[in-house]
Amino acid sequence: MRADQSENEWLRNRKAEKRALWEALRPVARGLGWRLTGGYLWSDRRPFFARASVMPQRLSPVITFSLGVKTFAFDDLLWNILGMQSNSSERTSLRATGAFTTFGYGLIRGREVVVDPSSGSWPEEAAREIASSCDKAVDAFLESIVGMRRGSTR
Amino acid sequence: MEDAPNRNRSTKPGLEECLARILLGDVEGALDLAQHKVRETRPHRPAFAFGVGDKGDAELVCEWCERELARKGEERHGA
Repeated sequence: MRADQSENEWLRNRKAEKRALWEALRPVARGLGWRLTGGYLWSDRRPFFARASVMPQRLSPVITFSLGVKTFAFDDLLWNILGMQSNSSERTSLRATGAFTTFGYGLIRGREVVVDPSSGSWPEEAAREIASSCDKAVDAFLESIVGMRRGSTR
Repeated sequence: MEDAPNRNRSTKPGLEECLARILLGDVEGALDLAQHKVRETRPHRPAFAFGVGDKGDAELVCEWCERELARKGEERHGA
């Protein structure tokens, strides 16, 4: 399939492709301890909370994702200030999907995964790349915090 | 009604800096940031990222910090 043909296909089937990506991403993410809700990957690593927005691009076969990590206290404080305290006891995924939430410390910003829509395995390949990148980035971040705490006690 | 935040913005840097300062115990620093950095540039609507009711988030941060500093002052007086 020619590249422009492939892009046209992507544009035409965008809804189906989005669905295929979510279906592939859910089990891969779950295997790494992540959940997928409303297009957001998230992981509860108390006291930290990691969230990634995953967005298939509209016009080209590219999936963009960004990852942020925050403490639970960050959203709790925001909601306290905005007079939305009851959000703190809502389902955990609200910290990923809610409009009035914080992004936190950016670990990955707008990273692109270029896919080949003509390949039947693109959803699984993209899902693996996105989920493992997020998981590795969060692990490295948490490791760096532990390292800092160790360093401060010396 | 709340204004929907601008979903095109992946971060709300000023607001998040205020929250970080508060969590680190620097309520005065957060108040200063919310009062000056935003109000000088957007005096018509002091907001970093969104509004709740007729107030911008920066205004709400200011009010919260002022209440918190007053509470701490009262605690010091009472002690």
